[in-house]
Amino acid sequence: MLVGIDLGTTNSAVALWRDGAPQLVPNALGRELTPSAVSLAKGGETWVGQAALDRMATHPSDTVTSFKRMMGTASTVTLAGTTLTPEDLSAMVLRSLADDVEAATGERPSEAVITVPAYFNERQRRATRRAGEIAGLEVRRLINEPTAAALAFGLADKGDREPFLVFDLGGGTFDVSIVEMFEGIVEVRASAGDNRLGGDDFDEVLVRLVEPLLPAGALDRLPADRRRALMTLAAERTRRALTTSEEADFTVVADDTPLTARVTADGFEEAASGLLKRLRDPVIRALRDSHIDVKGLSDIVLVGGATRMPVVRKALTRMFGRFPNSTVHPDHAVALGAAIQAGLLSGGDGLEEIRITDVAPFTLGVNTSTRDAHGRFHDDIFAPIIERNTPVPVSRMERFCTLGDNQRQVTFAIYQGEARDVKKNVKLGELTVPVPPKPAGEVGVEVRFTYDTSGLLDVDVNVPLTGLTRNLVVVDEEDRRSKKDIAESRKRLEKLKVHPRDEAENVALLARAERAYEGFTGPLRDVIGQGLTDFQGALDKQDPRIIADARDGLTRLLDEIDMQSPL
Amino acid sequence: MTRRSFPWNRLGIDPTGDKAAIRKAYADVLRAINPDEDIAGFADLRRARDQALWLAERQVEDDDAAAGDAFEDEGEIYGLGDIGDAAGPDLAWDDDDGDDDDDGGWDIAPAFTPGTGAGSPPEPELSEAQQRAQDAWNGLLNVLYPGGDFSEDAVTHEQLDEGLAALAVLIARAEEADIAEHDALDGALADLFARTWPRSAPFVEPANGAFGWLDESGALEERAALRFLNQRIKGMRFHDKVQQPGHPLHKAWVELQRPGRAGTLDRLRVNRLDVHKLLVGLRERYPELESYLDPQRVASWEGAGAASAEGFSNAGRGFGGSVLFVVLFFALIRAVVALGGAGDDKPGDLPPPIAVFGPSAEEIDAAVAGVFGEGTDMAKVRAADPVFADQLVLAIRNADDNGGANAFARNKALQVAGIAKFDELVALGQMKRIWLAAAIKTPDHCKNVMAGDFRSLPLVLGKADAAREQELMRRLLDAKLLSHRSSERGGSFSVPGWAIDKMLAKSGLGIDELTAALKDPDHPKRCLVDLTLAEVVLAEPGRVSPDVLRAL
Repeated sequence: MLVGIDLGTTNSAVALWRDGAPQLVPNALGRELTPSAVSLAKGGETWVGQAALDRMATHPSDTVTSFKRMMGTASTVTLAGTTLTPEDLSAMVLRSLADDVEAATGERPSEAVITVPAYFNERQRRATRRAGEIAGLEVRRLINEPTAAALAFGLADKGDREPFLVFDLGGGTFDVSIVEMFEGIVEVRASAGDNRLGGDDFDEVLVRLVEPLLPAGALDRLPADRRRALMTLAAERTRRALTTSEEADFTVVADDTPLTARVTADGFEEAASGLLKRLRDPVIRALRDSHIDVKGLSDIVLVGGATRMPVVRKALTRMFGRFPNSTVHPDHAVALGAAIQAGLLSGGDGLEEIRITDVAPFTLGVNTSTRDAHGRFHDDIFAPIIERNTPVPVSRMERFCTLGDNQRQVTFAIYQGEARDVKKNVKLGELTVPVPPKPAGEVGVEVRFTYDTSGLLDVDVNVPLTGLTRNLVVVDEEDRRSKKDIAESRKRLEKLKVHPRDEAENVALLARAERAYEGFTGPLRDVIGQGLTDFQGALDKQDPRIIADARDGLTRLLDEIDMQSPL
Repeated sequence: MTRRSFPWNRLGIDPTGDKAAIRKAYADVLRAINPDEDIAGFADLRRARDQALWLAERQVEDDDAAAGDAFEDEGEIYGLGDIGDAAGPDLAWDDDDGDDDDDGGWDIAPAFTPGTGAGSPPEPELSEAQQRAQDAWNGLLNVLYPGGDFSEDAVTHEQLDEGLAALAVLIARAEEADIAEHDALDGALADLFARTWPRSAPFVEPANGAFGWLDESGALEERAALRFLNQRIKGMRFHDKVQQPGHPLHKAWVELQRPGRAGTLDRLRVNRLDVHKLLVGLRERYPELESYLDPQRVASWEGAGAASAEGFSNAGRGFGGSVLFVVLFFALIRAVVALGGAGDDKPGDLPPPIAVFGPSAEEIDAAVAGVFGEGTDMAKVRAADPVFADQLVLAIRNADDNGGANAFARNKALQVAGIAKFDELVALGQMKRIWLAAAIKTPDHCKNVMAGDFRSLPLVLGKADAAREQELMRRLLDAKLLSHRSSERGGSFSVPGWAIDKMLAKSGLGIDELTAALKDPDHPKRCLVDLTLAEVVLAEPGRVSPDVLRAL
């Protein structure tokens, strides 16, 4: 079975193409969104999703979120003594989503379409692909998130649409795509973005804003990771509250003392002005690259949870001189689009006429050296071969020649990025080809880049003088090396004990109650403590009916408390 | 079925101005192919679709040309008005492409887009905020162009305050404006400041703070104006830093600022390597900062360096007093002056519409004979090098007088050096010598020759020289070299000692002046030195490396 997965920074979701429409699959807690959070305990006990998120406050050093921001880097996370790569963590979320699909349909998914930010580079895409494989899913295609959202938006009525702009601000990444639809063709005209900008950054701004306002003392005594976790959680709550009101209280409980600072919408907007400015550049770049005027856009489509923020909407309204379109569900659109792509790949009904064409989001090229007017050598100058926002698939060739007399070989390093200096771009691989010794400039070397719709880059180097060719499939090369790694990762993850799915609800509730217990003081804390003890007692009895009753009771209690307090 | 030509054959439809039909045809063909398996076919299809849409667009424009004009001149708001263009200095920073016309976009005032959106009226009504922004823009223009003229003087305190206030209004406007106006203001300010540099210096940092100009630094698509300004911003920052006593080059900086020649004590106090590093770095990156230094001081340090290097080579070779070996790095970037076309036509772009009026076949033949001598006509050129023939016809058509063909061929000849073989290089060198000799009386003409700009240059050759040029041109034509195109050349070469000696004798210059002229393209004696070098080298071309010939 082929499923569509939105693997997000904050939340993930899975959807299927069924009965001629995309459908979201709810998780064990009955929700469409599964937080991208993982928590571990000594001995390998593992929590994924909401339960893990709830453990953030109580076990900050054993819990991790926003690991999508680390994808494609060498950094790792150590939770309760187990070291995990961002791919491992993503794989755990993917596996939990696959469990949900299996529970809903009775069939375990074997293949997936996974979404990635349009502005993810090759390395980040490769890491995502690997995460899918570790989770036991064959990744049939990686599709860009704004493209997926555009599919979900456009297929609502299947009509032709003048170019519209998809503005996708998620938890950790920001994408802008300009898309046009006609005659069943979904054509991405240009994409731009910032893969280090999202809702998380707004939380951080909020933390920095209130830190000096909170009374000193209690907070400073907390360990750094716990303090940070509490502040981030409080910031997220405050940010949510600010979507509906002009001011909100930022509250943290440290050492049984509640600390509060008041934040106004205006104050937040001012503090976030630096981030809001960064929204502008990708929009301008996408418009320039697609040669479309702001006035020529038929719609501004909002996707991603962070677009709910009034400060972002205000900035957008100013930027485009009109109100954005918020008809698509900002958290669901991407997963639904992934399911549509899955339907396309498996020949789903009602999709026969649809074709998608996307663009290469980055410029791809090689390093070159040159001699300047003063005779000095300059290495590491980026020579683009495929310009960004070229429709894919695409194949381009460039000729280069030797720079030194009797040069024996030519080495091409392959880069992706927009800087003239290759050191500021992302290096994807290297290829060396021997050349016959001749005077400088007399040996030509042809380099061909082929970039296909799945984002695979294929590099061919050819020396016409000798007929020698070298080939490098950038993605394959990396995969071959990591086949063993993947098997090892899979084994490592299998050792971790994930709670059985039918216990998921209880596990999540326990984590939530523990978080609430930590977050309150005084009589409320006692009430929660009593509820926790009762629930644990019910669990020990192992009678499903008693457990269900106790669960309902505790859930109601926690809901009530949450409603009353700002926490 | 009738035979159709590209793009219509690829789309499988008859030529049409109906865009919907073109899109439909494109969609049908796209569904029939698998782009991943037929990449070339997909690229071809895209090109066919884009070209067909472009043709359809043109047809619509032809049908009602008037309708489109309403949008054309809506935004004089941030334009430079009637000052600026004429008064603007010839900036040296666009040496990358060397083609001033290419930056024509500068003169276009950014389109002012009223936030209301739909249907722009021919004369936009300005909101109060926009009116204020326009007043501020005019105020800033007055500060930067005092009395309506370009000025290199620094602004006075009052002007500084006035300009900063105006800039603050514009920045505030940009913050609240929509993205199109923001972008327009961003571009307009960058262009204005680049044009009015150095007077605009105090305004650049605040604008950078608001528009994030430095973020674009080093990007492939960094705008020309910003490439210039960002370098200057970095220069100003370097200037601030180097004045801090902790900076590694601080001592060298202070030393070079002192008036007068450096004494022996100074030489002991300051590290010579640091002085050298500072000077090389400044000249490469921030040449404008050299004006802060004392020229005499700089010269005395450099003189010392040269003298000791000379002493070293003498000692090494022990060759009685003669200068043995001088390695020179030679600035060689030559602007390519493409006649009648933009310098930057990408392969995928659609051809510009070409007006098919022009000189008759006889006139063309006459022009061709002027370049290659009697007996060579267009047919012969075409037989020898069809690509060049096409370019030449275009050049003759676009030139406003009959010198166009000559100017074009000479420019093309200059571009040959990058790929020419030895004897062709010699031919080229001889041609160059002829041109330099003809231009030597006027320094400006000489510069034009070196830059490859023959259009504005009345090069009067003697009868013998003209015949010689024609003969050499024929050689390059027969070798099919003239259709070669290179955008930029550069390189290094060393002039061997024997050539330096001969040049000294021939030109009558001193060694210092000779070296200075070789290093500095603006040196008053540069033309003479170039000519002498050509004469000396061409007398015995076998004795030098091809690099030297190439560099001539």
